[in-house]
Amino acid sequence: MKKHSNICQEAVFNKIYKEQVQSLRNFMFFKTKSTDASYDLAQEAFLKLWQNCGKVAPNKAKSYLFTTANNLFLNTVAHKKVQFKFTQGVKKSQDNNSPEFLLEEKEFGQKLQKALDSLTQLQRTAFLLSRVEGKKYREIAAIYNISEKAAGKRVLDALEKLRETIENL
Amino acid sequence: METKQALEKWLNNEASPADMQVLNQWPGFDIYKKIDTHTKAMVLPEHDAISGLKALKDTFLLTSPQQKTPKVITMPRLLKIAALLILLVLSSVFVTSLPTNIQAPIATTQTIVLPDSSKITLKENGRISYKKYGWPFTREVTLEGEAYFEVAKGKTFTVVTPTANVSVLGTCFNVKTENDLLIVSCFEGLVSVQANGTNTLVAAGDSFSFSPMIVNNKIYTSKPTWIFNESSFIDMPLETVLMEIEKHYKVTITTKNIDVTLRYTGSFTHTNLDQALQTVTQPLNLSFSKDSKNEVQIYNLKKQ
Repeated sequence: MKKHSNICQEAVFNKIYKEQVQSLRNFMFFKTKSTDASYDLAQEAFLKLWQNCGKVAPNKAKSYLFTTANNLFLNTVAHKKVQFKFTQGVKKSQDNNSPEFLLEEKEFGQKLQKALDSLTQLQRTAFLLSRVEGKKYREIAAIYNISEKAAGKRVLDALEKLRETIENL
Repeated sequence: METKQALEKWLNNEASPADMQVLNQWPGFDIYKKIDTHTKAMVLPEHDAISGLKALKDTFLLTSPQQKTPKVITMPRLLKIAALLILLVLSSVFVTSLPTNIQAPIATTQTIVLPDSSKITLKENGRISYKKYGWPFTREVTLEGEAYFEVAKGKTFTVVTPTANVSVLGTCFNVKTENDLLIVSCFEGLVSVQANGTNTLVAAGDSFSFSPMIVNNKIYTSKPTWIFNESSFIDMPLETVLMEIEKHYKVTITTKNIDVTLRYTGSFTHTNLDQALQTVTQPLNLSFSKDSKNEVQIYNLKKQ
């Protein structure tokens, strides 16, 4: 009476949670720009997965989570304008850390923030998924249920727009 | 064109060393690279899987879990068989106790063939009920109104009426009930009627009225006349006969200078009002007139 792997089994669910939660959390973070909101949305998506554990096959869990989280995000109405933070001192390992250079880097960071704000939510999320998460076009396409080409275009467009905005600031 | 392709590949994290060479030679790539490194330095919220999972489990407790393994109650094999048998017996008892009700519509007779090929001819407005599935065990019919029975030979066949039980073994007989009135006419065999604690045997060719007194009359037909669309009367008061006509043809009959207690023996047809009125009035030297469609007056010409 060995059952098929089923999300309703706690071990299976735990495994999926541990594998997917960080990436789902990041996805929500790119969308909301909020640490708290992204936490709630990610948790809520997993809750939905548990409630529908009988209906979702384990190999479909990932896409179910991302779609659900995306829908949950669309349902939330007001978003506060929050800005991303960037680590300072990534460059410190490099020998070129003169005050001028650091100032320039700081300025660039501020410009980048403004530029990211000017992107649409879809462009920003696609771009950050690609850059920060290192996701392939194929994976981004799967999340948004669009073609791989469209996903690539979205990322490239976002990059072009960022460059334009930064250069004009 | 080449740079754009290389750029796209680089964005998709799959640029080859050759692509990187193309990009690095292109002065415009500097800013893209800068954007990339800065973006990658973004501070992401650390999601603690263990505490997150625990928090999630706490919410599960509030929401009901979807799939619980259902408890299966197992029974010993013998108990299963016993339960099945009990169920079968109970259901058969229930099914056999279900009565079948039949009512004849207005102005028609209805013939019912019972499971043992006994036949019941039900007069208009008559109503019977019997247990179809219990028929092999008890041959019992409850009757309201009038019906003619042709009973196949077998166990005791009982007709239950409000006033009496009529039981036979195999015969042809007619039972008429109307309020307190009960008339049992036997055409074949022998019928026993239990009414008010007395047992009366009705032989073939006899017709007994049971209320209020037991009166024995002879019958001369092989079947009750209503089966042939006639009503017949043996030594009945004229009043009763006229009421029967009224009931049958839905007319109002008024009488003038007539003794309604005159006794009448005979029958009238159910198909023609004029004929029926003639057969009733002529033997008693009476006349009738139809005023309008539903009103009939009966009077004595000689007395006027």
